[in-house]
Amino acid sequence: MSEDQVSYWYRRALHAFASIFIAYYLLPDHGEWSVVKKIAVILSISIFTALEIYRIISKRNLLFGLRDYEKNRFGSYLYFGIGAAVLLLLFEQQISIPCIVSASLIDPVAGEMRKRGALYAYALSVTLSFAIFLVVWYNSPSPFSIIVPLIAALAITAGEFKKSKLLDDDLVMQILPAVVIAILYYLVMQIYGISILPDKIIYPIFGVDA
Amino acid sequence: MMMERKFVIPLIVILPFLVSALMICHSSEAIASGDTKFLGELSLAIIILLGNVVFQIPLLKAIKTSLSCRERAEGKRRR
Repeated sequence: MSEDQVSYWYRRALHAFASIFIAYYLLPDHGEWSVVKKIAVILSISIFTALEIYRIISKRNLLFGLRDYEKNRFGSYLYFGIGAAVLLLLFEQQISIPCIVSASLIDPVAGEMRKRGALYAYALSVTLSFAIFLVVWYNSPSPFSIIVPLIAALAITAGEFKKSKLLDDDLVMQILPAVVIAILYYLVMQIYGISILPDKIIYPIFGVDA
Repeated sequence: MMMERKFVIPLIVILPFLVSALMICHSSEAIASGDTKFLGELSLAIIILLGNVVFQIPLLKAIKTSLSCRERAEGKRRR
């Protein structure tokens, strides 16, 4: 029983831990640093994908905390990693940062709140992700400083609660709001000619500011 | 399981503190010199720190319980 509890909380803590992926933006974004950090992301995902393929083929239980249904498919952690890698490599930080932080914190919080009822879980998921997006988007042009966090919060909650057998919620929760915001960004840019992106939120800790 | 206990769990506990501390120091230095564009980074660092602490406490408690259960079982076996 106590080992089950360790496994249970290990999964929750590992999920919250993923929020530190945004430390990627603390590294400089110029010269060789820009290439090195991108290669590090791709390499990490490749190593973990290879590890997962080996685990599935060899049928050996290499990892602690895996659920039964993950024994014959990629672990959720890899889906989260792939989602975070796509966001870090392809999206602007104003979009990727709140998506990664929200997905990493909302999923375990919503999981805990589900014990008290689905309504609590929905409400908390929307409120928390709205707050996280607002922190990043508060200085975006009005009314997008409110519209974007609201749309993103609804997209994250939909990604969390609409389960699919093909796509893990850890992947959907990150990519869905990012794609929705990116579409909104391009639509507004095309129709009104203005950028709705707010200022950058994280600046490199050393080196020239990008 | 032993590998997780020795390497992964300490990482899960320590790294979020390090990253949040780094972000807090980085942003508060800039805020102290009047640069308010770092307020977002400071807020994110606090969110990350709190979010991780909330799930680390039950994890550490569960590990402690698991270890004491194991010690008790070993003690009984020895007797």
